[in-house]
Amino acid sequence: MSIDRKQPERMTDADLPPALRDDLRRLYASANPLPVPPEIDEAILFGGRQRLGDSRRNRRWSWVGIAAAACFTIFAVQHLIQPPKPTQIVQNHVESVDSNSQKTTLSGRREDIDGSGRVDILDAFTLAKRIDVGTATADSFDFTGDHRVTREDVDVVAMAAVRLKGGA
Amino acid sequence: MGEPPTIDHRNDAELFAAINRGDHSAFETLYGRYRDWVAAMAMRFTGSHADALDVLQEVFLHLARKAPHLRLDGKVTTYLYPVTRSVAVSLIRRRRPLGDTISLEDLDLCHPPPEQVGAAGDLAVVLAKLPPAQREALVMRYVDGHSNDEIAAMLKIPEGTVKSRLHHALAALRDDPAARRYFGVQPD
Repeated sequence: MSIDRKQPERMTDADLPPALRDDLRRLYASANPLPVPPEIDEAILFGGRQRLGDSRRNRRWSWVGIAAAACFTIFAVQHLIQPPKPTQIVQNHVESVDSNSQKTTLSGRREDIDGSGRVDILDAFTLAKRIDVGTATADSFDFTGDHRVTREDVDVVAMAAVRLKGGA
Repeated sequence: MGEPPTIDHRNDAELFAAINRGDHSAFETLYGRYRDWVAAMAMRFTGSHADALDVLQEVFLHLARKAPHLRLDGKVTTYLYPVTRSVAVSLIRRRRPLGDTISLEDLDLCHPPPEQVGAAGDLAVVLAKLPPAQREALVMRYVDGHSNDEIAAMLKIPEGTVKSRLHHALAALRDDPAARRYFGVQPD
């Protein structure tokens, strides 16, 4: 006796003889429907109502929490840790460099134009600003050695800031 | 459960979305639509009326607990089948003696209903000999009418595995003397 076993990929509904399918359905259909007592319905619907109510309440409180955190963050940024604006920094440093010895810096580097103790892009910006307003003196800011203070000196300071990876 | 006063025309995806928003009437409608289906599956898995009712409760409470993160990618039955199965398996495992570490594959889900007589009784005996995973695939395919890809999604297995299980189940039925008559083969 030979039994035809098709490959799984080729199987179709036709592989199940109708009599077998009918008996199979009759066998499992006999378990339907399962009687569900009304008190079970009530318990499930009550439980669902409770849990959905909880999740809605939790969601509301979580939004309150998020809003409170956002308010605190905004307050902290504005009143506690707000840094001065970059333009103010530059202006302040230009004034301070003008009024003091231009060679005296915290970092001890000539490129630290603004005297902040580190060499960064703000020093290049400060020098450019001083050149624009005509307060850059040749001896102090001549980084190229050509006895003039020009855009090339600004580039030298900028390159120094980049080489120092954000400041010294 | 009494009939709802008005018919809810929202489709299943809309009901899921509404449940996510905390809409209890959507939960009630969904319960009304799928209560009997979940109960039948639970009865099939546990083989006990009392256990099936426990599973029914747990499945719908699980649904409510999942809000607002419910996601419906296909049919509701495709979503509910693995949940019902998993809850039933947990319940069966809780009822087993401590230290009994039977694998999920070997758990006897989809066992044929007991106390059958006649041809159905004979078939029940034949089906009881099949490995549980093959029997489950057979029932899902030919009793519930799910497609192979739906079965794969419900059982979270590759479609090829579903085909393979069906193939082996049918081969075993053909080989069983008590079921050969279905295939037009005379018993030896």
